[in-house]
Amino acid sequence: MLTLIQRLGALSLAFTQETGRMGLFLVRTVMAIPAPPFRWQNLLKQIHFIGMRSLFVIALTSIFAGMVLALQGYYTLSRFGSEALLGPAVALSMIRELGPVLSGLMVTGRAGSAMAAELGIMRIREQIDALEVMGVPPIHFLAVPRLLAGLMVLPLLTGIFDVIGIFGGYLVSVQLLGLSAGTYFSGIESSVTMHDINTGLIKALCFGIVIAWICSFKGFFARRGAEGVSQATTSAVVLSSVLILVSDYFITAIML
Amino acid sequence: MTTVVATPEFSCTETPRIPLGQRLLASGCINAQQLAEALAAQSSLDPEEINHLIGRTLVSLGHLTQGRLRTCLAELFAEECRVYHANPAVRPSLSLRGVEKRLDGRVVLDGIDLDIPHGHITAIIGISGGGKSVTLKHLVGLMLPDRGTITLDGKDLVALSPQALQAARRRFSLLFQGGALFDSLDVYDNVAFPLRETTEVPEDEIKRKVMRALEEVNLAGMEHKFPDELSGGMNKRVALARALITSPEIILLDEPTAGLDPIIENAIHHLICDTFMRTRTTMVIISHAVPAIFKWCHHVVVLHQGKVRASGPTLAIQESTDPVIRQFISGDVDGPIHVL
Repeated sequence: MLTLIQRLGALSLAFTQETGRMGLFLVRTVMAIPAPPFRWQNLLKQIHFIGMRSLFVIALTSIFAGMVLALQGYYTLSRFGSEALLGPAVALSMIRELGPVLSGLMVTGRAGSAMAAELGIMRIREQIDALEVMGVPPIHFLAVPRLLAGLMVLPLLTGIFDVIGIFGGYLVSVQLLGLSAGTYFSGIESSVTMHDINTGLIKALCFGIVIAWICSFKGFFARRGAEGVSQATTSAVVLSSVLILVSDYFITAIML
Repeated sequence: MTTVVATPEFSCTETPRIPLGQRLLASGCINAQQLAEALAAQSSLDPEEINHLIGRTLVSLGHLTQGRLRTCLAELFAEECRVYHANPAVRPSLSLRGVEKRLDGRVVLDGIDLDIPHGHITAIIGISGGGKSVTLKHLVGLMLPDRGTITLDGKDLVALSPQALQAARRRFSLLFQGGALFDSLDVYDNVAFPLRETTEVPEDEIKRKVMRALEEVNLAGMEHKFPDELSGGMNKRVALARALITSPEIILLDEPTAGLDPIIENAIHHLICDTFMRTRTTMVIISHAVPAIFKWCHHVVVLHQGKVRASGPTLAIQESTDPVIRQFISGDVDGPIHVL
């Protein structure tokens, strides 16, 4: 019995410690943003890595997400004779929910895992220590460009996801199921408000921070060789994904 | 600009201070005529650069072979070690007092007291797990002690603010065991990295310095290779070039010959000696290459079970009768150190 309590205590302590370290890492990263020198090249490299190189997977995911949403939506709405609402249903789902969440999850899988692995390898090969010895603050050099890139790129990717997703819905609704293009698009125009778009973009901003923060943190403090890097990468992806879904609920609850 | 009159008596006007050239002359490796010719060939350079390149110039003029230069430098270094043995009173660059460190509940450093003599090469030796690498990380402030002080020219590193510690670190260079080169950068960018990130040196000056640093480690022409295209020995040499590029006051080398074959190991030792003779930088080497390392350091610190077992001039440590040190030097399995 005592062992069980001891274990629970140890787990709680470890959880508290890890959460505190993660919080401190985020605070130190945010505080390092205004400190000179500003490394434009590092930032551009990260924007290219997180944004440009995720475009294909975002396009692929979004078009099929839009298509399946239209397909499912059509058969549900047709039961009530409300096929005309298919456009708004697809667009609102995309803009408010699926766009930011699926973009976040895709970027976590593609760029976040690579981010954690790259920093983890830098840690075990002592490259992060080398930066410190050279007098280059590693957080400023490595974490700041990733955080800023995540912050800038996720809303853009979400916007692209939304547009392609709505187009995927159009392909199925109009080209396959015979709904008129006018009905599809006029429904979207009349039902999507600026508030919906803002909600999606705010979510995307938050998810961008979550991905860059968690994946950088996990990679930054990877330990114990190749196995440690693989563990760091796995836990970065799992924790980022979970935090995206959890924060999605709370942001939705606040912004409804 | 230096005006040099080349005569057999080596009379110079406005002669810059070229310590290495003078010492090669005094040791009989070269004659005055040869030194004067080498100086004349380098007359457009500043004195520091002449001192850096004098050996290379003598080789390129055909006055010395590369091998003979290496032997001359090694002989000069051995002579220095004998002088240091006779009179080891040198002010310390770095001092550790009562340094204690626990990692995962295990005592790794148990009240370390040691001094790193200024302008000399110190080797830290000891069995694996004896606290050598942890000591090195304390010297550069990568780890902070649980107790004790680490002083650099009288200032306690432990008490410094993060900004001051960062500034203090710029006086050091550390050659990591694995090189710690950035995989995504080529050799040129790796060597240029500390200058670009921590100084305002213009790019053409950086280029000149990088090319010279690569030449000094015999890697001229390799600047566009990536670390994964180089052998282990070459990677170590690139890391050494990167460590030297900022002209640090103290260079720390963590097992610079680990995992290398005996020939490359010897080449790296010669390179360290060559670098030291040109720059006179304080160096600290962690090494398992015993007894080979004794030829390449003035001072030895033996760490055992988290404590300094012995510290002194190399010749004194070699003659030590302490059974632990004797076993470590001879490599015997049987003795006070139980490994099996």
